[in-house]
Amino acid sequence: MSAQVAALRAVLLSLAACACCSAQAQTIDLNRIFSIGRDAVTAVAGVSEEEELKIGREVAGRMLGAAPLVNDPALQGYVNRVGRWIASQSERPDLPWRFAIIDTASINAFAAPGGYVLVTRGLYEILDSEAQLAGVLAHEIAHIVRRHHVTVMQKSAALSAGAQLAQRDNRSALLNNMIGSGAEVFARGLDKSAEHEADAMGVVLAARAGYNPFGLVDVLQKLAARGAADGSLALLFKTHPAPGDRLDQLGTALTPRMANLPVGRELDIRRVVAGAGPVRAAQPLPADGARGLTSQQGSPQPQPSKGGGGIGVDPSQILRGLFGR
Amino acid sequence: MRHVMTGVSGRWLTMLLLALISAMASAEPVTVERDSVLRSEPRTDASVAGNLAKGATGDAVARQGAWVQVKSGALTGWLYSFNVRFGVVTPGSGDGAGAGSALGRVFGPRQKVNVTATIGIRGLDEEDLKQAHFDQGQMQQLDGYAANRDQAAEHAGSAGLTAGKVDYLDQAGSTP
Repeated sequence: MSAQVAALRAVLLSLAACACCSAQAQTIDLNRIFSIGRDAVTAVAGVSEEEELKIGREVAGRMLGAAPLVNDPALQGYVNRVGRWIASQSERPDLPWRFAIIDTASINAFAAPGGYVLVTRGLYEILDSEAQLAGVLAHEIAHIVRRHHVTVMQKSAALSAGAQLAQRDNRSALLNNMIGSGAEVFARGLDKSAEHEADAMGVVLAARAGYNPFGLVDVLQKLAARGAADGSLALLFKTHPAPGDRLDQLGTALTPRMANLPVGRELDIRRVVAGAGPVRAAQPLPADGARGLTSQQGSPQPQPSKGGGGIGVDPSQILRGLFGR
Repeated sequence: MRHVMTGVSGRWLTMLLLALISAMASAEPVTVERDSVLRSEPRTDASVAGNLAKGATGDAVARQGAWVQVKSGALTGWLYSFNVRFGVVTPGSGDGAGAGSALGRVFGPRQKVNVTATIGIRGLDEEDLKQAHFDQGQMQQLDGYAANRDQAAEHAGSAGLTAGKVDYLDQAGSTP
């Protein structure tokens, strides 16, 4: 409800701002402005679970168009079992949960509405334990449980009040307007308070699932130690509060509960199989946005791993093979 | 008998050496981020070993769960890991801030070469996300990897994980 009020206020403010700076301001009917604002907010407010699933599937599919799945079915199955176990401890255990490791060196993780959680290979490879993986997955699960991205999309769609007028009776155009272009919702980021809430909930969800609750704290320490100068963290730093701030907030919330949180298990994490590349055929990718065009023709079935990765290996994989784990 | 004795003391010597090496390798500079009570053991009910004020510096020498053991001047004790910050490692900075030390591997980049390796690797950026197109084949693949609740519970069972009731944290500004 407060989100709707905030969105309504934003619409009205933006309309009022236009009115003030326009020479024709005097001729604008204030009642009509309020009516437009109200309609826009009402139209995007009631997103059903079915619509949420539709939006999430579209956004997740676009994300996989930008960064494909890592070709390691055993690893992907493992991440799904860990993720589903944690999601089973949440308030939305029966969503069609999907988890995946996507093939990019960026250090990040993404949650799309309806139960899609995508962790980058760059982040997965700096994790030391299943408890740390649980912390990351639980943070993303919390975003989905609290419908954080849906709220952000609603606000942003409500702001384009002009578009709303034309879409009041066209639900699918409305949902498309909410999604925007590509997977840009992940570039916009959420409110800081949504990130802090997901951290605090993530610790508890991991604890409920039987893991050491502090896996997420360890991961935030890793991110803080890397700092903003690390290029692989560029997007994450742009869309999230600084890891140090997140540790501060989380620490404040955790301190009164330290005496009675369960110890939980740490557990070894499953490593990415040697030589695993993206699920898509290993061809050099164009540097522009042309990847999306090829994706429309559908992906080939996963190629069986040839162990060494063959000829034409991505240089980053060689580095990983030599120095990574 | 003599042979056995030698074996035992040899094993002790090896363990002692390993402990020394690990203690030496794991010292990691830290800064205390908020006023903290140092405990003699990693437990909230352990005796107080001293206090460290915000801004105090020291070396982290061990960790256990949410706790990190810090040595600062004459004081040594345990405090919550979220109350300290470890040195920032900048890409290509070589040995800066203990990137190669044991705790650097625990809390920071695993190895300094790993940091160097990220330079020049093109990760996802805003433009990639805006240009992204839906990939049906990838989504089918993703659906194939899904686990149901039973499969998830089976994994938990074999890993020795048991579900428990834990209340959400009280958080300033959070909505119910």
